[in-house]
Amino acid sequence: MVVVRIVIIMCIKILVVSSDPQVPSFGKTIREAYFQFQPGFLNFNHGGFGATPKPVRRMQNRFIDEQEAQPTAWFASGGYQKVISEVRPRLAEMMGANATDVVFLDDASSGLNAVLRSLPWQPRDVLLLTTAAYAVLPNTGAWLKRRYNIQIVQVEVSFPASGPESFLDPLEQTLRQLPRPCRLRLAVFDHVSSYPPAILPVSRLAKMVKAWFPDALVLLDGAHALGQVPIELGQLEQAGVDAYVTDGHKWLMAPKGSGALWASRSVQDILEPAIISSDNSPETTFQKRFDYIGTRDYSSWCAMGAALDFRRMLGGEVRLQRYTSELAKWAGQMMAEAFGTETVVPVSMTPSMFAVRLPIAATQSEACAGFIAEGLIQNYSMLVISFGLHTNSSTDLTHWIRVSSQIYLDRSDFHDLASAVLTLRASCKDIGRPGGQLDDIAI
Amino acid sequence: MDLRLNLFFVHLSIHCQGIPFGKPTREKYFQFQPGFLNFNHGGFGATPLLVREAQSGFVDQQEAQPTAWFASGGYQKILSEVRPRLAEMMNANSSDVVFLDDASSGLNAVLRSLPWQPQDVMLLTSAAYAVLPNTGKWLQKRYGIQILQAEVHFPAESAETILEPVEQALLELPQPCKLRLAVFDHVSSYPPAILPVARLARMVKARCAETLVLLDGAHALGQVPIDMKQLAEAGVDAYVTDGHKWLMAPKGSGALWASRSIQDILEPAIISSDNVPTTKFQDRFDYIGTRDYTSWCAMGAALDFREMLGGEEKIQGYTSQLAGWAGRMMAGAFGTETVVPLTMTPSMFAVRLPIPSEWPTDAQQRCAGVIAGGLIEKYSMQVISFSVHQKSGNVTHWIRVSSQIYLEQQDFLALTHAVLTLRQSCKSRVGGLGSVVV
Repeated sequence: MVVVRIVIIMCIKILVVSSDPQVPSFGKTIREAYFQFQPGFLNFNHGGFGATPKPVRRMQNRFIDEQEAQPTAWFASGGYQKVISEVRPRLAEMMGANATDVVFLDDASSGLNAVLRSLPWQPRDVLLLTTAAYAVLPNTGAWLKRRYNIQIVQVEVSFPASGPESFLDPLEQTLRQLPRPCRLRLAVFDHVSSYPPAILPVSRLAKMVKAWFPDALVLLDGAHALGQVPIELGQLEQAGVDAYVTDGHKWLMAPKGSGALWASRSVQDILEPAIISSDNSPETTFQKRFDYIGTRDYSSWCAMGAALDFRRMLGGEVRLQRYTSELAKWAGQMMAEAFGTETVVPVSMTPSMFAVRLPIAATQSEACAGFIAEGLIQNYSMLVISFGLHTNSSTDLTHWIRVSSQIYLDRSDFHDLASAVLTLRASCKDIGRPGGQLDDIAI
Repeated sequence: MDLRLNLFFVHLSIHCQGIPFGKPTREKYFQFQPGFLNFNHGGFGATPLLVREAQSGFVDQQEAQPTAWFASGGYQKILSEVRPRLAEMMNANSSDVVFLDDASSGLNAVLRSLPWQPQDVMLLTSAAYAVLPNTGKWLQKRYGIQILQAEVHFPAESAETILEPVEQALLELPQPCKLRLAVFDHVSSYPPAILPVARLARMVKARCAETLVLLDGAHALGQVPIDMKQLAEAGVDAYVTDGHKWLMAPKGSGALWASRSIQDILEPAIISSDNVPTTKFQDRFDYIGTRDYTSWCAMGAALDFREMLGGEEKIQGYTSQLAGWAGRMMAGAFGTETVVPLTMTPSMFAVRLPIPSEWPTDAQQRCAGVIAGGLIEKYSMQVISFSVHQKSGNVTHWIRVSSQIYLEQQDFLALTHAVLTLRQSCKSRVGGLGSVVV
């Protein structure tokens, strides 16, 4: 077996071949075996809304069968609670956490809302975010401002980023410049940011906040982390992280409506879920407050176990994450070269999601970017997300596409994507300013 | 048994499809464990197979192109088709109705959205579902509000039993009025009763014009008619209901109605990435993150299912007639009473267990447990047992029983027999040789 593997590697196979002959290889075979995408559709936006493998859906359906067989038993007599008590330690282990400190969520947004809206804010308390924060944060912050008269301070992060200092330096500056006296109540950082995608140096960010403001709480938005990058909550807690939220439906490939929240012992008492339920009275413990939040569909939480089983069957976290991140790093560089542009962060900060700048001139970019994104889905059945960025070097808006790799994709798919973009781009010269000339297009 | 009543019943039970309500409906459309009789529909509902299938179809659509489902009008298009139908069922304007995961989410949304000031008062009744006092306690901690509870006593003989304590509580409020919110069940849970909600709302508004009135209609949609227009005129400002209970939509579905005048301040329990200060009411509630919206979408299939069975009048007619008959029959067989008169009984009733009131308190309690436990373990019948602390100081024990289209008279007769049989194994004294009452 070992000899065979060495031979395969020496042949420079593009596809990662599973050592288990029963397990289909990554890429198209897995896509067709386990996923339900429209035929011909290439999902390069796994980071957006995930995708649920068929075995996970089947397991979820079995939980609903159990629920419908005896609904009261499912909800009130240990039915779903027994299932999640089996899933919780597995999730906790995956996150390097104690099971007692982990609860379930419908999604990361619920968890961010739960933490932000649980804190006993006082007027002029500071909420610290970065400019890369997912919109839930400034939006919920705006409500907290209206309700509690808090202040929101944003750490300006510019892209493209060169390395961890692209986050650490602005944070240091912001913390130093906060007018004193200052009650920094909560600092929130992405573990893996969305737009643009990058792995942030979260331990160092947490340590820095705690060094300047020991009483501040640190919350990490790990929506994109679970199943994409390793999560070491033991180490993160030591660095000063107090709470951590993550999605289940994204990179873990659990069904929509699943996620997890970790909170350190010291903050658990003040955290309330987004829904205070009929079973949540002042003496109710942390886990019980979050484990039952009303009569709803808990089969998604239960099916997180099936998602973990699925990933184990395909070779386990290390294998899956290695595949997706190597593919992403390769694809990002390949596309940057093909476009004559760049990726938004260096390889060391790239998870399994990357952003590459579109090969269009600044003068026609808005319409052209839209044309390319539209054309990709309409003509090629390929989905990416296009977005604009004000970059360091220019006041103009630059245009990028965010691209996710996944086990259901392989190198040929990314080659096809690159070609499609270039083909569409070639038609962009017909979309110009009225009466404009042919713009120089970077080749 | 009255023959005429029986014939009337048989007539009611056969619907357009030709499949009678009761056992045939249970076997064709539901997925209960064989032999299991669910008398607790009010607790957690039950999802018909056709509705599950429709929901599965939506999940297929979602998985075929996930981004299109969430971001490009996929599920939102379906909601826009379901909303007017729900609104019509509630006699409301479509633009005032939004979706919820369940009533608890809606109650949390309303309660936690209001700009509470210290010493503001929230009025609840003692029959309120526990979400309300629980969320109220958190508001107390966070904002320094006060909770005023109007003690409602059961059994109740009429609507006055509910109205009087509320009227009294309102009269005792100091002026100027700091009552910010009053919450009433439309149909209470424990014990189950239809409350005189229009009169309650008018009473509140007459006393304190600025107070908001929220109705907890978790049990209402599909069990009793909801006339939002009339309720709004009476002073109701917001209304929440479950979809998974009497509408028989999947778990994770419900609706919130709010009057134009308060929509601006209401935020859903989850402020999403698409919720900025300029976002409109419906848009704020329609997208609350990446989650499973197929339950909301499948509310349409639940409405289709009910239409196929003959429509609301037919279904609600059947379930309420059956509940009325069953409540009286069981009270007669037990020698006890139902918790409210027929006029206040929806399709869910509570009947007092035939446990002698002269028994010691702990023996009575134990017996209630023996009965409820025995019903599920020995007879595969699910009811909910609960106790009522009466005005006299006594504690009485009741079972809450839901009727449904998948149940029929025979099932309630079997339930009655089972309760009486189990009661016989209760002992009047706990421990030692107790006399077993035959």
